[in-house]
Amino acid sequence: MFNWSSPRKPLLASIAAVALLSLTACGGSDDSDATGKADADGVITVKLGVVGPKTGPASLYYQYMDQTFETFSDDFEEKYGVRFEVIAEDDKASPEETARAVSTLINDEGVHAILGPPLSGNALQVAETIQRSKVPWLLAGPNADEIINYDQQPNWAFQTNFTNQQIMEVLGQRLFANDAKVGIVFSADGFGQSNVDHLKSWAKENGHEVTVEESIQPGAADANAIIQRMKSSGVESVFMGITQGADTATVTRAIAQAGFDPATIMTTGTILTNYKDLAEPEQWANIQIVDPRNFLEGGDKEVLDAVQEATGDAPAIPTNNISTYAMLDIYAQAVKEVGDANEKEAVRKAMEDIETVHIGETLTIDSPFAADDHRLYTDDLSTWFTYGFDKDFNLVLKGTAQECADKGC
Amino acid sequence: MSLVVDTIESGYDRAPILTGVSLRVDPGEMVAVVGSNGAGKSTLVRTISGLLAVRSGAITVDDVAITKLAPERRARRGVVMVPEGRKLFPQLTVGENIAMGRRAGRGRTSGEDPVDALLDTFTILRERWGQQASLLSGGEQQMVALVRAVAARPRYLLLDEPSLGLSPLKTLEVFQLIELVRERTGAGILLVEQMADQALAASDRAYVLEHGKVAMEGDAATLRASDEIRRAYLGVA
Amino acid sequence: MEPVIIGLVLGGLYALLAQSFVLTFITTRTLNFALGEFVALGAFATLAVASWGWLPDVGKVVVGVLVAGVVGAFVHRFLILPFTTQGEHDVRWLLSSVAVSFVLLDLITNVEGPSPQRSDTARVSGTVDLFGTGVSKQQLLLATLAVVISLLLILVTKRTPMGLVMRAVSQDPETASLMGVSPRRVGMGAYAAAMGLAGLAGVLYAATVGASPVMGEPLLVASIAVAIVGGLGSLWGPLLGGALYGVLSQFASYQWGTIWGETAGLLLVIAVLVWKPEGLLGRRTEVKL
Ligand SMILES: Nc1ncnc2c1ncn2[C@@H]1O[C@H](COP(=O)(O)OP(=O)(O)O)[C@@H](O)[C@H]1O
Ligand SMILES: [Mg+2]
Repeated sequence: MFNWSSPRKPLLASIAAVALLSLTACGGSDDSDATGKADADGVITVKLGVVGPKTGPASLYYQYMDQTFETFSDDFEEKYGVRFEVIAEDDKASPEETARAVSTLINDEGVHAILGPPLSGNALQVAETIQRSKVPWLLAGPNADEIINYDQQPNWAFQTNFTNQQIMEVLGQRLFANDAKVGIVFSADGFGQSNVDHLKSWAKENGHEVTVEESIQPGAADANAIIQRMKSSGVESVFMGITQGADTATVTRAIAQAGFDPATIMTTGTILTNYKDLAEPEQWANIQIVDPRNFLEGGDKEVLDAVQEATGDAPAIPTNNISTYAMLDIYAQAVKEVGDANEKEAVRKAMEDIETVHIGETLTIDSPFAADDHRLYTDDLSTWFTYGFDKDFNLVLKGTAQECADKGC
Repeated sequence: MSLVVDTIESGYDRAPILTGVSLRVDPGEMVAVVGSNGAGKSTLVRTISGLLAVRSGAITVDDVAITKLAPERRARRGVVMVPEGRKLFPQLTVGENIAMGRRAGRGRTSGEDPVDALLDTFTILRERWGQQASLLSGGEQQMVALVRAVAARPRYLLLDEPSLGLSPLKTLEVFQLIELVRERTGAGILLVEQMADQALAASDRAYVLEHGKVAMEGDAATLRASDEIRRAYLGVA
Repeated sequence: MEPVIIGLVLGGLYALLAQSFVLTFITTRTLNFALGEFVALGAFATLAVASWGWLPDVGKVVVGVLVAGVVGAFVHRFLILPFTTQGEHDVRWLLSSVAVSFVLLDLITNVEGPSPQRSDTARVSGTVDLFGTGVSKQQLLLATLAVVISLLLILVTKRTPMGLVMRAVSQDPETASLMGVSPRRVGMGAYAAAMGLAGLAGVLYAATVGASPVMGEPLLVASIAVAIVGGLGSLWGPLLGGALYGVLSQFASYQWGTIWGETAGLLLVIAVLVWKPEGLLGRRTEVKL
């Protein structure tokens, strides 16, 4: 079952909550005991810089980090003796603000590690700076491969979401099966651009060609022209590399309106956020997603259920709630092993050499990293899952990506 | 019962233009304000009608202070102005312009409609009724502006240079119309003019404005006869 | 044929919002750059009463229109009007209306959250076939309303005393005040009507894309473009502008890809600005003594 949900808050209560928040926000204390070293009780408090869109339309991309801390902080302290003191900076989802936020965290706050920013384009913006500053960089959100330049060693960035190159490796076979004509619609942002780049390079390496590439602006009023171009070009497989579920809804609405019926429509886990409420069952009936996480059972699901239970809200970005959990597990283990978060190079090395990553109670991933591979997941098709949706938008497991590529799903 | 301006000061952004001007207009009376270009005549009527704020002093209409009222509220109390350059609504028809005038007089519609009498005399306006105002000649525009003001049922009518830009013949016609307006409406009329001779001839009393101050005042006929006025304003050496 | 039909229908949504710009422009010579947030405000106001079973859908739409309209009137009175007092060249209202946009966006986001919320009020799902083209019924409804409302507005301004006052204020607010008309009131009324329209567009648009604080923002550029093409001074302008902009941008999208759609629309704006800056149906303001 996939039914995490948020209750609709009464208006007045929300206003009161906002007012209260803004009051308490001013009263932060400065006497930090985030020394990065073990205190009398043996607990290490880490000063963790968090960058994300706290305010504004993209604030879900901050909320998932917040939810994960709220839900699991105590667990990590109990398990590893590591406590996170979060210093959050608002990047307002803009590249300029991200650069400012990161510089504040590194230079003024002297944080032990940085989590975020969650959006690929903004992460690209500060990649050089963070690598140069030699601070462990916890990339639990962005999917773009370009953020990490492995030519620079030692490398400080770690990615616990899958990357676009990986998903294209997994999807390529599926989309181009039987030499189908493939069209991609991608959002006009860093995530979308990275998607189209990797789809094209996969196609090139494997002797295929992408027939139609169309970008969609966030919040676009319609996608009729995009779909008509796909339809009239005879596209049989569609990939939607779209950041916001709302825009995905605009695209699937146009597909229905045009009576376009491609054999395959694939997308990513971004459809799990904000899509369902804006679409109709017949519009998602033929959509499938691939993801390396098992949303329906095991550790991944445990994380999501725990978030729902602890916060009372649906996981803001389910895929990223899980990748944040994995990231904090990795970093906390590394700090525990080194014993001092100030020893950043040692912590970095410990992360690189991590033996077992835990996700929830029951899922483990062994030795995911190497010097030239800071990615948690692999592009092995047999480790990825293919999902469809039932009429209530519950996820339905169709098989592993390998099975679906071999036999169709 | 009169329109009373009591030592007002007013002007634009910087230094005041009018400094301590006082005057009075009684119902049914025609009062001229003469003065050279830039003396502050327009400033005076704009202040009375509310387009310019009074900085000090007071304006009362029939013993009620209107000093702080917005222009539209003064108009609804019967203080009606025909601005310099007529200021018709250029893309409205003659009829629509006059209909706009009626809005200010909506609360005070007792008695016969003075507009009809004027239109009966100056029949040209009836012919032009559906025409766009900007297409009329200057004289016709001035007539429409006057009739529009009458439609507002004025108790006090402020006329800023009604003869501006008109030929002598047209000027004559406009002055006839003004006389008719006074007859039909019984309003007190404050007539601002550079054509001092004609204005004084038509008026009961007069004020001479110089550099934002009242330099002389009195009976119109007396002023018209005075040497000083003849030399300064009537072009007589 | 396809791009023409879709373009005309899509142009309707832009025309409705462009009409808001025209309404405030002809009466107050100001534009409300917070229009996008009023679109969202209308949508959320309707959403807030969506669960009132006793209120028919029309009533819920009216709530959205009224809330946006009333807030619009207040915005004019307290945040636009005070910044227009220094004559024709006083453009401080430009900044204050942009500030309103930020503040409203923050307020709505704080109260409602950033995610789009489903809105079922006044939702008509499905598509109809128009000359062989599948058109969403919701968009068709919006386009039809844009035409009907524009015609009504034109009728009202041409035929009613209220319309006469509006035209007079539009031509010369100072002289209108000498006729006992308060240009400030007329401006407030125009803002109420214009923002009510934006709210209406918001309610109907939210039924498709969901209500979200930023839902109106992507519509802003296109609606300003439509208003400029048609002429900010003409109530017919949005219809012509919307049709031209919609068809041209759809045509370019179909032909060369979506990025060319918006570009073509904006090129149209530039062409109009060069060739007829007052807009295709706008009137050059002439001064005649
Ligand atoms: N809008 C204005 N701003 C600043 N000064 C003005 C303005 N209008 C008129 N003035 C000045 O006020 C003075 C009086 O002008 P005005 O009342 O128009 O004179 P009149 O009507 O007697 O010719 C003049 O010196 C003129 O320059
Ligand atoms: Mg003058």
